[in-house]
Amino acid sequence: METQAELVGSIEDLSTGELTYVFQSLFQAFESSTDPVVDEDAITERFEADVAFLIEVGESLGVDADHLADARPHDVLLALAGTSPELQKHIADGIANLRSRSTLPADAGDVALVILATAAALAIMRPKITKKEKSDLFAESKSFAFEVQGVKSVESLIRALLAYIRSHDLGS
Amino acid sequence: MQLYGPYSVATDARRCFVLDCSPEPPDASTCLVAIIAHDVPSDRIQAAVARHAATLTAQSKRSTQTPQVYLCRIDRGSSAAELQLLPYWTPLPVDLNRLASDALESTAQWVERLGRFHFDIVGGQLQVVAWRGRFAGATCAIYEIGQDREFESGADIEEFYFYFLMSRIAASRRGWERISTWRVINRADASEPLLLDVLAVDVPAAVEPRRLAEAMVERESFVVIKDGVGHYTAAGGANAGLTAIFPDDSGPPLMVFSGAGRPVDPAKMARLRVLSDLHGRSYLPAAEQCLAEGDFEAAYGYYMNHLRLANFEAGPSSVAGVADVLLPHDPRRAVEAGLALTRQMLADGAIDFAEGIASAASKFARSWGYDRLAVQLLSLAGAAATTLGRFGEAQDRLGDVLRVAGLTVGVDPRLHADLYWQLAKCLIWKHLGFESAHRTMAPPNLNADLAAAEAALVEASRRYKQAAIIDLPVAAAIVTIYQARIDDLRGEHARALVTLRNLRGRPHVRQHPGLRSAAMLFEALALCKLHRAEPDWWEQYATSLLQFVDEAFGVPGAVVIEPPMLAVGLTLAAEELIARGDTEAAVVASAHAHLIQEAVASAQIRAPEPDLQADGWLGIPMLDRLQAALHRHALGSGGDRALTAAIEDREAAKSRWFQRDFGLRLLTSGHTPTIVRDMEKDLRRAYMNSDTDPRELYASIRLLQIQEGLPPVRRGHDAAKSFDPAALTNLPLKTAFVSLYAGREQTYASVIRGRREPELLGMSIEFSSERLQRLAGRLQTYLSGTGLYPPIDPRNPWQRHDRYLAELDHLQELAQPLAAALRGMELVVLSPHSYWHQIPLHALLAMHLREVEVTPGFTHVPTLALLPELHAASTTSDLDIVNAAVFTAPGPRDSIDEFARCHDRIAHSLIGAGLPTREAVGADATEAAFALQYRTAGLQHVIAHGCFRPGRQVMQSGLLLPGRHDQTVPGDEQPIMTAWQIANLTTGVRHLTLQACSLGRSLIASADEQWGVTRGALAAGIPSVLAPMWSIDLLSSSFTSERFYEYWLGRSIPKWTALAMAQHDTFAADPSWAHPYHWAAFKLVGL
Repeated sequence: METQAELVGSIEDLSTGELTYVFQSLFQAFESSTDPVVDEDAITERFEADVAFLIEVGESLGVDADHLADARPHDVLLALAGTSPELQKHIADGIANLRSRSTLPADAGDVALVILATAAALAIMRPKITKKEKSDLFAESKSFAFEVQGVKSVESLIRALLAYIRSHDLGS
Repeated sequence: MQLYGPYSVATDARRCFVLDCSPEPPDASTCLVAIIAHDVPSDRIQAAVARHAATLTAQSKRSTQTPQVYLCRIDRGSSAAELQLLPYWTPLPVDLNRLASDALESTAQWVERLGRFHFDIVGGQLQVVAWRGRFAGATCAIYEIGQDREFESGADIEEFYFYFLMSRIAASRRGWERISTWRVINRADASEPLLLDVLAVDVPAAVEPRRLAEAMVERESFVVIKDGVGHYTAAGGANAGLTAIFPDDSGPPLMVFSGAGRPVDPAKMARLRVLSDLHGRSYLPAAEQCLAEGDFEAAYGYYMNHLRLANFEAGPSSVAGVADVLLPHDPRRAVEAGLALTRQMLADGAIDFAEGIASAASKFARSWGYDRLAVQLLSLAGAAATTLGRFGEAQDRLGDVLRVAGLTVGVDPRLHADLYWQLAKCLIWKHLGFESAHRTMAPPNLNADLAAAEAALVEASRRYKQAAIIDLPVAAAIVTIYQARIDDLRGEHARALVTLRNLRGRPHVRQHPGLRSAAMLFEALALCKLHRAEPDWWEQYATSLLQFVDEAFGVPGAVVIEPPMLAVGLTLAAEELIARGDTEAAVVASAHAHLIQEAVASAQIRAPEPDLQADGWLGIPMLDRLQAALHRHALGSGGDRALTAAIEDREAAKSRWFQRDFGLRLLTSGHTPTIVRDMEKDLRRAYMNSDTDPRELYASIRLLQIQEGLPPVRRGHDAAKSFDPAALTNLPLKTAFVSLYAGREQTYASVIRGRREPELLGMSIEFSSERLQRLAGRLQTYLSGTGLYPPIDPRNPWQRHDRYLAELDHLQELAQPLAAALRGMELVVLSPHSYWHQIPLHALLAMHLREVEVTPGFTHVPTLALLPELHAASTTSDLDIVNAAVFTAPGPRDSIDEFARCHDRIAHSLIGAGLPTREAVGADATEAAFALQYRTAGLQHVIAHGCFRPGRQVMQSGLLLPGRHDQTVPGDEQPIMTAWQIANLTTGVRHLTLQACSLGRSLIASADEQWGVTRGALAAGIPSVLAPMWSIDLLSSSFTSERFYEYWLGRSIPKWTALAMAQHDTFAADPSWAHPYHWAAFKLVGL
């Protein structure tokens, strides 16, 4: 298995097309819906829901989405790799798999990378985040908290993802 | 031999003489030479001219029925040996005065520098169309050059592209003489000094076109001046200047010389104006005559030429000159002629051509201030567009005409009211298919359209009353009927029903067949929705509908209703009749509805765009009902007849525009090479560029034909033709033809077994069009990786097979009866439909036929109706393959060694089959190398990355080459050798294999029109194409290709069988390759 430094180097070295492939692989490995999300409208709908969810989680973690520096898709992948050793292995395998293909496609993907990165990250994270209502009898409106289980550095990931989304001006 | 003239005098004191040197009977063809000379040609010169003309006529093998016309210019002191005759074209019948004036015009000094171009730059594509004269062929070269790139539209676009063209000439035609360039740009006579010295200019590839043109025009001292009348002048020295004059937004720019940096001299402008009127005048009689003969394309072409040339500048001519003597200045006549032509074309059913003429003539009329005529023309254009089902266009036209009518004094109040009524009708017809198409959701813009229609009806009603028209009760009833339809579409069905029933009770409605029929239909439509919501309404609905149909067929003249409305009623009736088991009546009703729809579709010269489905009532799948009725009817008595009808109907409806354009290719036979080249270019453009107006192109082709004296030939699809398997003599006797139709409920399949005494079989596959669409989406997602999912892992293709492709396995089971019907056949020709084009049908069938004694080969065609043409094109294809080429372009991160190994294997298999093989691999695999191979090889094999573009950009799908897409964002790659380019480049290829991901895919548009790279290749004249339906694996696809060539070329096995054997070998070679992803990827298209 690659060392941490090697993996970081591999991720930094990925082209846009290769990043697309790695994010697609992660999404396929972790998404749990029974029907594949094939339709363009369904993809858009899913992305919008993902972004709304991210913003909500980000707010509960105190991430100021309006004041984030620009981020790259590589940063999202690096942040994902930092969340668990298991995921680190998945990413490393995905990159290795990519390098060993003898297939001809080069037009990697027909969906924007930001949508893919978000879909992949949320497919991984969403099952591990639980939304709970805060029990405050005197509050004027309902408030919620998010519990995260089994994931390290979730704040870094949310930050990287929101920053990447913001840099595409899609998350507002 | 007789000399006529002199005719008039040009500005340089030369005159025109016409020498009639027609041979004596029996070779009684007319031969005329327009001689431009200062003095009367001597007898010796005349004899030399006549000899020269006779030689040219014999060489050109032109039709002896057509007058042969030549142009000859004689300078002072010219000897007989220096005489040069150029073929010259003049409208028929030849008029000596007109010929002389044309000849003078094209020779006079100030005219020699005049060129006429129409720059049509729409959607990023450039075309240059020369409007008249023999020089059209030379001018088309500009178009060829322009194809190398795609363009963005923008401000001053014509000016930009003019310079762009000049720069491209320099860049790509370095070997040209000055004179060649001048000819191309100017279309004028070749004897004048050249404008551009292309050899002297160094042309870096990346230089900005305008700067390059400046350098070409010479010495960097380039000036552009724009004045109030839109002159753009570029000049390089004291004596050399070039000016492009743009008369208005759409007129043809004129190119003239002028002094450096100065606008054109006003006197010259005036002469040009007169000149253009002269031209304009000369085309009207030809247009009128062609229309009288039913030659719509030619009539359209002549009339549009007339407008373009006459449209140079609006306003009265102030200069007396040659033209004033010969022909009067009469723009009003041009407008009136346009109106008459439009009306006649509408009456003759040439609706799309009528629309084009009415639109162009209305614009011309407005530019001359004939607004009342413009209103009439725009009204006709709107009506034509509504009839054609082009509702967006109709709304635009009617919106325009209402604006113009509102500003115009003296418009007939009745006409004004009618315009509002027409707008309302257009908006309501747009949603005429609501019930028949089984829509349950309100289509987008329904509410907005209904509101606009309602407002238009109110206005129409008010104006009818104001105009106190005689038939006011009828007009009021029409308004009420349509208002009821609006209520019905808004969901107020019961209210609409009451209104319509009340109306039907009124005497003036009862006695007016048109009103009664419309009310009956709308009543049935209201009941239809009530019945769908509440079954208790069924009896009333069925009674109302069938009563409508009974009147339509039972009482002659009882139903006087517009055909689209009749078709809607009949389609719904067919459903009811099918449900009742009255299949014969259902066939009659649905066939009639389908015929009405076909008639309108057939009148559409312009093809639908790749990503658009037909709008309005044309979007109703009337063929679906007919196929369902015929299928059921075929189960009873008269089965064979019903099956035959089913096949003919469905195959004629597939790829309508492709059939028509492909059929036109055959018209090129028997022409002179120049004309053939021109026609082929036009044809390719006609169906490859959706931004092109095919009416222009058909007209252009037709005018070229007229030069050759050919009669009009009906367009391919529109000519009645039947499918005759026995005539396809190059195919095995044991050939089966499979015609599929994916319906709303199931797929209907028909099999014609055997070429001689064919046996007909009909069956259905319980798989609807909707399910096919879903499956096709999943197939691409799993195999190619689309959307959120990665491409399949070639080493483990079964890994997620069940999740994505369980439905494919199910479909394979359902295809078993079809496969059984194909046993014993050597070749199966598949004509898929709708999403079947995206399903590996050959693989589903082959899986069932693996174990039989004779494994059939499979090939695909867009429609069986195209087989005769494809068959004719492929007659000598195998014999023609005398050399081959392999083009291998690995991507930047690919293993070069691996690609090189695959390349070598393919090349060796071709060399081993005895074909000299040209190779380009790695760094040598450039765009230029591809083009060279494409032009010179008999067989071309391409190993490269492919990029399939779904949606409107489908014809931009093509190959990705290293260096062009290394750093691009996915989806932003710029493919080269796109479908469009493949269709347009000259090719000698008789078989093309594209070992490039997904380039065998096609996009299915309205009327089953297929778009994609394979269409481009067929259109270019390549008889067969092998290309994958999804992203492919390099190793397995190379293995299949190698085996394919070994069987086909090495062992002379027919290519379809060779492919089936190669695919079987792939299947058996490796356990992972037993997945269809590996072995079934390639699809053979064509013969």
